[in-house]
Amino acid sequence: MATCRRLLAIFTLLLAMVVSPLSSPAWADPPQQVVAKSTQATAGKVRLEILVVHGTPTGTVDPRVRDLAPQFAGMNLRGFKVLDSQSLLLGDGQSGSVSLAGGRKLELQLVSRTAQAAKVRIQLMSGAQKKLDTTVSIPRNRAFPVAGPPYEGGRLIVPITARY
Amino acid sequence: MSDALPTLLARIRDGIATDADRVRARGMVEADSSFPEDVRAVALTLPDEASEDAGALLALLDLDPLDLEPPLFGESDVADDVMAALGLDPALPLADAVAFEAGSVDVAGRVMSEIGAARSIPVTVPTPLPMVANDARGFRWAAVANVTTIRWAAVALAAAALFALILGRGEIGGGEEAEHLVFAQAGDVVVEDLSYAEGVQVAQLEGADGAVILWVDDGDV
Repeated sequence: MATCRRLLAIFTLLLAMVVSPLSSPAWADPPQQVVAKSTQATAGKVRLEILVVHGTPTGTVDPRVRDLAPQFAGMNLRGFKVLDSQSLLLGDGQSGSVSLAGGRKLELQLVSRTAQAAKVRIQLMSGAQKKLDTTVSIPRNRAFPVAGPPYEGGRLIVPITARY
Repeated sequence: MSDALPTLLARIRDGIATDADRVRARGMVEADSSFPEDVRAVALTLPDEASEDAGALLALLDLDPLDLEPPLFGESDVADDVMAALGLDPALPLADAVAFEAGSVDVAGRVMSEIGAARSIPVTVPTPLPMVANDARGFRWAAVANVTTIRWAAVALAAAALFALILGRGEIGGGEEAEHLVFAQAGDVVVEDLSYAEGVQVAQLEGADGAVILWVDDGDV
């Protein structure tokens, strides 16, 4: 009988996990409240999606960045491997950083946003040394690649997408 | 000859026929012209010898010349040859009479007696078991399980299916999902401020498909 109760408990738990949103931290909340909390958390913020890609003269193309290959066909880069994928959820004035390969780091700050574009400050750091400091308006839901730092016989390519 | 006669004869031979069966079979044999005259006259007349008579009649039916394969090297009627050598009328049904007198060899009965089993054990198709237990493809365990066990087994199967579904959901949208990158075009991107360290080369390039690329060669390998 105890085994039957355990089975019933497992079954009920699994059923609840299927019915409820899997990754929501407030999975016991009614659906309307979950949506409201999510909207509040992302309102006015921009999600910056950053891919760290290693481009090489030869090699295969990672399916995740197959759209990248045609852009760099004339730069002797034909192999593309995704080294890392990160995202930052930033409000106006907020900043975050992403580690790149070769001891480099990319610091990103959301300066402002409009309906058409997000203004982002981009700083490329190599150790403690700032190599680049620029502010760019990235069109909404478009990718802007920063490329060129040498790395292991190839180049680093960092597409930054502003989604909101 | 109808199919009823062999069945009746078999029942009589096996001792499971009634006297009415014997009488009925007797009438059918008497009216059956395929049997020899003398056989038709005496077969199945005595209840005590009915079983042996039935066996002999069945043997005669099995030896029906119409059912035999054609001989490979021509026919040789030994009985007729013997009758001719003795100067008797070869038309007499000697072979049939000998077979009738010899009776039948009850192989099944001898085997059953050797193994100590009763001769009356009917050789019939077993009564089918209940459907679930009779399914040889699987679920034989259900034949010995009670209803509660079966119900909980079904619940366990459903739980396993849900677990597999959850795992499947977890893999959907995983890290290997293809990203669809839409690049900003040269006319859409505005570079407002730009400064860089000494020794760093910076250029704004245009990709083969029109994407704007900020090229930065910091010289560090």
